[in-house]
Parts: sequence; structure tokens; C-alpha cells
Amino acid sequence: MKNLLLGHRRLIGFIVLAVFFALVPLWVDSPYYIDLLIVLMINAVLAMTFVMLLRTGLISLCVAAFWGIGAYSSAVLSLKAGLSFWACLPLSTIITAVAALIIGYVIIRNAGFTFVIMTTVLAMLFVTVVGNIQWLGAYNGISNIPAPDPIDLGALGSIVFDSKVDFFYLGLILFVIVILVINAFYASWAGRAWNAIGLNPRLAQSMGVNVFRYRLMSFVVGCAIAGLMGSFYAHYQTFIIPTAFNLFPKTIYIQVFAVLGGVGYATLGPIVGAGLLSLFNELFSGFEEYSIIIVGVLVLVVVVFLPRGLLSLGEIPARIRDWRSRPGGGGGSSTKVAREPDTPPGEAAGSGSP
Amino acid sequence: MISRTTPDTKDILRVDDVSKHFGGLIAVDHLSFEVRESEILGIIGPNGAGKSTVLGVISGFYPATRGRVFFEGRDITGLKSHQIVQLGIGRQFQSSTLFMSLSVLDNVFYGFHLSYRTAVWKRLLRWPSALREERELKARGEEILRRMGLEPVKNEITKNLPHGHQRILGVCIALATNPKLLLLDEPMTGMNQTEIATMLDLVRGIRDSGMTIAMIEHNMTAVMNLCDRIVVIDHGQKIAEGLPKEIQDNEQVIEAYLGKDELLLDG
Amino acid sequence: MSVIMQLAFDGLTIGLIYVILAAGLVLILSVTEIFFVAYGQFYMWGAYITWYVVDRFQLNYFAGLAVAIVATLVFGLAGYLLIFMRMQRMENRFLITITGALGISLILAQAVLVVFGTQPKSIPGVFTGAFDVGGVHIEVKKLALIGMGILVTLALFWIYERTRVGRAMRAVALNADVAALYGINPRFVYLLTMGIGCALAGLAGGLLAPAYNLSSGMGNNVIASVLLMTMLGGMDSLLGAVVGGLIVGQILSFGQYYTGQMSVVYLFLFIGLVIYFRPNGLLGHRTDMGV
Repeated sequence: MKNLLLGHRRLIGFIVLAVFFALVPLWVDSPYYIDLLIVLMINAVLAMTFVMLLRTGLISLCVAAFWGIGAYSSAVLSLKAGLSFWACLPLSTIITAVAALIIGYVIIRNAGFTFVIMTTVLAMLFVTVVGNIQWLGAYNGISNIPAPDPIDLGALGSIVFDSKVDFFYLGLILFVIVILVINAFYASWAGRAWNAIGLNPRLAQSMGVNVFRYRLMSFVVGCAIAGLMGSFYAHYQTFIIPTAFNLFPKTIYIQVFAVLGGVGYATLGPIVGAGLLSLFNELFSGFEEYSIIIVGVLVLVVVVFLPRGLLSLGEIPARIRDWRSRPGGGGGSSTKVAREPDTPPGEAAGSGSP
Repeated sequence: MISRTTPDTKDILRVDDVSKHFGGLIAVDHLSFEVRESEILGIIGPNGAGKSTVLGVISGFYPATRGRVFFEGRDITGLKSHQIVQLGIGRQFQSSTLFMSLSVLDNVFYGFHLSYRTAVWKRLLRWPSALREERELKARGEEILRRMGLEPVKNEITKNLPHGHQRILGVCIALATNPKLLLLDEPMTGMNQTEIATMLDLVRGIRDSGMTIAMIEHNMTAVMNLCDRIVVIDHGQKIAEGLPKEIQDNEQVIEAYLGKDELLLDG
Repeated sequence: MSVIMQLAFDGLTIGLIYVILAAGLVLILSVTEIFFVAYGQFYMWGAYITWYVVDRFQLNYFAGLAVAIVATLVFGLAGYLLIFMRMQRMENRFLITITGALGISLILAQAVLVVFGTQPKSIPGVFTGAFDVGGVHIEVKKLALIGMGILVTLALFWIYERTRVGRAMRAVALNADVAALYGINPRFVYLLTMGIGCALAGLAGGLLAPAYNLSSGMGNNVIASVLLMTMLGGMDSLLGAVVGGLIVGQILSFGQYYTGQMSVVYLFLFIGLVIYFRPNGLLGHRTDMGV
């Protein structure tokens, strides 16, 4: 029963947030801010995929590269093959997933330095390789990527994608679907295996978890989601250049979003992190030069003093309560936490075994 | 105590001429022994004799340098540890390598990884059969905890458990993988007398439910009480094998222990 | 033939810079186990500081080099004391230290633009002249770089293999807990390693300054190659760093000439192949670190 309520509380919170987002264009009419929100959603999703890989102990610095693979394959499919956006979106997701499967198969052997180095190098290789292929527009990128075809609703008319608000709603739908899918994965047995690997790979293995296969699975799923967002990004921006998908600074920012919010909070953390940094960039938009330095300082402050992210501030009251009641609690019953594995292990992963 | 092992019981596990080298260090040296069905085999030896390495080789954490391991007549040498668990060899770890941040019940629940059959997409759609399977597994987890006496603490966070309970939980996780052969790695280290007595009962109970057990243990009183047969290892080699009584009187065993300044009977 | 000799010579020049860079990174990776992405920025800062001292204060090049080394050393020590020291015992320290390094990287990369501007820099006239030997055009500034590079590498080996500090570093790299039992304070060794590693990056930048142009992207550009070198040689082997640096220098020199920018791709494929067959790198021992 408690589980049911808890699950519903999360769901209700999510619905409220989604509805709130959906209503934003009603009182914000500046295209500039709508654009900001669209970028925020893309960034938040990318950070979520970073957290997803982190769940299994993989720190991937090539999230942006797979985002780029999605964007480029979608652009190529629509411009060179003449496909509609509605075909490009799933196709480019599949292409990215296949790429992730092949690359992941080679590089996921260990989760330590080797993997991080491999992903770092891959992130830079993506830019170099794409930047040297004339067919893909080299460093000038690809432009004039068409907007999605109108959706014909028969008697109700049709939805035409000619303003930022239309893209905002399309992005919001993708955003909601992605969050639901990610959380469903966490709740499933695959998510449990991921969590087990992240907490203790050796113990997971002695439970019969095929560590390599589940790591590969999270890599493929995470990268496919990044590819989906890449496709959306390409058609929204109408132009893409390879350097947009570079390690410096794109992937760095993705990791920063995730860590700022708190990697233990699989969906909310990235949203808070990405939102906070957008806000930050707005505040310091007058002096761009210094804003990056200030972001760097902010990252260091959070990492040193709040290693579990800004959202862990919310746990402090509970911790104090816990700490206070412990001496008199007797039998340690005060530390009881009825965490059902059904909840997306959002709160669990940040606190790995000491 | 009557030994359950008779010569005609068949071997469930056979370690055949296994060696394991770490660089220049020879941890296990041409070791052969077998585990017979539904017995409790004790593996003892002085510190650094290579006992844990043997378990590591059997459960697939270290590849053997030489030799073969057979489980139920099947060659399992070179298989990955998760494949070996699948075949039915469960393992409890020596140090407390549990999921410290999860609850006790969740630790066992995660251990059902191999039993879970539902496809991911069914769980994504919250298919009724998927949810039912999870409920069933949870009930099975509680059942294991009840049997092992951990039910009162099932919702406790693992890192808050006393050491003895953590050791038992390690066994519970191994049980959740539904093994035919259970490898225990010093289950009684650091336990007090009462806890040891409980553990002895639990291990006997597991064996009586039809499982075979091979265990490393330092506590000689416990080993002599519990085990049907004992294999003694020193410097990676087998120096003796037999019934507890025979081992107690074996000159070579006493020498191996005394040579290391260790008491043969402690605790 | 002379083209090949010329390329080999240029490869050696840049290779020695890489050797010093890789050696510093290997020290940091193996001893502190921090994935120090900001390493390339220290290299850039070393080069820029050298340029600044020579250009603005009209001082001797070697004075500039000394200032660069001291400055990056102080940066490194401060970075460890202020940031990484607190992380050593954190539960998810692998992620947290990487993020910390990323933060430092952001700050240093941007600060170069703010302080020195975007124009490429160079230090002319420190080592002048050139001569031809067997069709190979040898510039004195590159020859000087080779000489100093070899000297630094030898000195580093002497410190690592022969001195007490070096022994402490090797012990901590093997097992910090055991080293602590032998009376070595791991924290002090971490601090020292961070300082020395960063100073080596600064030194490499300073050595490069008179021979090549400086740009604000050089820190980012070099980090991928240096990471690849440490993997090629083995992440816990100083000798491996030397071998890796020299090989990568040659591959990049020849690759650049024959295939242009794609040389990085071939380098990656080559190293990927090596790693596939020797997961520890050519001279490394430990399979993997971190996590």
C-alpha cells in the first residue's frame, strides 16, 4: 500500500511538472526563452543518459558524440535520401543504437580508466572524422535541414511546424516519453541488474549477472536516447556543425549538469542541473568571457562541498532526524528504510558501498 | 557423529590438477580433490595457503593456469563467473562485499537475477505477469530470510547490520541464486560463540535441504564439528585429506600449523 | 629518403614533448588514481607563462621556463590541497574527481583567453639558426628542445628510481594502504605527485614555446593524444610513457604528412589494436584502475 502511494506521489509530481511545462508558452511569448527551454530539455535528456551509464559504473565522455551521430544520420537521411522527419527520427535512433552496440562491444571491457580514455578519444575522433568528410560538409556542417512535415488531423486541420512553440511541444512530448522509458527501465529487472553492477560488480557477477552484457545494454539504450535527441536537435536547429558535438565543452557540460543536480537523482537531477546552468548563463549573459570561469568555480564548489549534488540538500532534514533518533532508537529501528526495489533507484545509486 | 559420505556417492565437483600462478607467485600448485554430493567439505590450511584462490578458480573469478574443474561431469574450466553461477555453484564472499546501501531484503531480492524470466518490455508496460513474478520473488526472498533468521531485520539498511548478520546475509544472497553447490568463504570469521553456534545450525540446515557445501574456515572447532570430510592445503598443495578425526591426528597437518605459529584448536 | 629522415626528426622533437607530458600524466594516474582531464590546460599555461615572461618582461627564456615550472607546480599543489584532498575518501570518488578536473579544465581554458587574448603567440629568436645534415633541415630550436627533453626524462627517471621520494611514489602506486603501514604518508605523496605532474606539464609547455606557435586550443588538442600514449605504454609504467610518447610522436609526424588531420584516426586504430592484444599496454602491469 505504501509502495502504491509512493509510486503515485512520484507520478503525480511528474504530471504536475509536465503540465506546468506545457503551459509555459501561454505566458512566455518570447521565442528566445522558448528556445532556451527547448535546449534545456535536450541537455537534461543527455545528462539523463550520462546518469544511466553511470548506473552501471561507466563514465562516458562521449555522450555528445552519439548525440551527434543521431543528428548527422537524421540530417543525411532527410537531405540525401529525402525521408520525412517522422521516418528519420526512429531510423536515426536505430542507427545510433547500432553504432553504440558496435563501439560498446569493443570498448566495454573494463569500466575504469581505459573506458573513460576510450570515450574521451572517441568524442574527439567524431569531430575530426566528420570534419574531414566532404560529403558531410566537413567543418562547415550541414544546413537547410527541413522541419518536420505537417501532421494532418483531417477535419481539425493540421499541425504545421513553423514556430518555436510547435517545436517546444514536440520536444516536450519526446521529453516526457524519454523520461517514462528511462524510469521504466530502472524499475525493470534490467535496471536492477544495472544498479547491482554499479554498487558492486563482483557481487553482481556472483549473482549470475552478465556484467558485460548489462553494461552494453545500458550503453546502447543510453546512446540511442541521445541519438533520438540528436535527430530532434538537427531538425529544430536546421543546421549542424561537427564542433557542436565536441568533448570540450559539450560533454563536459553534460556531466556538469548531472553532477550539479546530483547523480543519485536519475531524472530530476539532470533537469535541475541543466536548468540551473541555463539560468546562470542568463544572469551572466553580459560578460560571457567570465561566465565559463564562474561555472567552473561553481562546479568545484558543488563537487567539494556537496558531492551528492544540489538535490541532496533536500535530504539534510531527514539525515538530522535520523542522526538524532539513533542514540535513543534502540535496536537501530530508527534507521529503517522501506525502500522498495520498485521505486526507480534514484536515491540509491549515489550512495555506493563505502 | 556419523559421516554421511559413503564411497559410492558420486562427485558433484572435481578439481583436477589445478594450478594458479600470480606472476611469479604460485598460489595453488597441482591441486586435486573432489566434493561429493550432499556432504560438507571443509578446506583448511594456514594463512596464505591458497584456499581462497581455490574457491576463486572454482567460481571463475580467476582463470586457472593449469588443470581442469568439472561440475556434475561437465568441464567448467574457463567459464565466466556468471556462467558458473548459472550452472549451480553459488558463492559467499569472504569480506563483506554486500550492497551496503540497500535494505537486507533488497540484497536477497537482487540475488534472484537468474530466476527472473519476464522480458524487459513486459515490465516497461507493467504487464500483470511481470508484477506477479516480482511479488513471488520477493516472497521467496522473505522465505530465505526467515529460514536464516534474518526476518526481523529485513528492512534494515545493510551497513547498519552487526557483522554476524552481514555474514549470514552473504549466505542468503548465495542461496537466492539457487545453487546445487554452495561455496562458503570463512563464514564464521569475527563471530562470537553464540553467532558461531547459529551459523553451524544454519549450515547444517542448508545441507539437510539437499545442497552440497564446500567451505573454507579458520575456526577448527567449528570445522571439526561440522564437516564430513576435510582437505588440508599448505603452500597451494594438498597435504592431507580425510575424516575430521584422521586430520586431527595427522602429523603433517600439525606440523604445517605449528610451523606457522598458529594454534590448531582455537576458539 | 630525406623526407623520411626529416619526418623522423620532427617526430622526435614533438615526441619528446609527448614523453614529458605522458610521464607526468602516468605519475598522476598511477599514484593518485585521479583521471586528470585538466592536464592539457597545465601544458598550455606553461607555454603561455613562458611566453608572457619573455615577451613582457624581456627576460631570458630560461627565466621564463623557471617561472612556468614554479607557477604550474603551485597550481597543481593548490589544486590538490583545495579540491582533490577532500575527495580521496568519498564514496563515488572516481566520478567526483573527474568532475573536479573538468571544472578546473573549464576555468583554466577560459582564463587563458581572458588573460592573454585569442591571438596565437610565439617566442622568436631564442634559439636561432639551422643547418642541413644529409638533406635533413635541422633547426637549432628543435635541437635544443630534443636535448632538454632527454635531460628532463633522465632526471625524472633518476628521481623515480633512485630517490626516497620516488620510492614512496612507487609504493603508493602499488598499494596506498600497504605503503601507509611502512610509514609513508599517502596524502603527502599524492600532493607531491600532483605538483610534480603538473610541473612536468608546465615544463613541456615551456619547452615547446620557442619552437612552435601557441594557441588557446592547444591544451584541449593535446589531451587525447597524451591519454592514448599512456594507454599504449601502460598506465602505470614510466618507461611505457617514454616508449608510448616516442611512438606516438613518429606516427603523428608521418601521419600528418601523408594523411593530414586523419592521422589521429589511424593513431587511434593502431593503439586500439595494441590494447586489444595487450590490455595493460606495452609495458604496464595493472589491468585497470579507477572505479
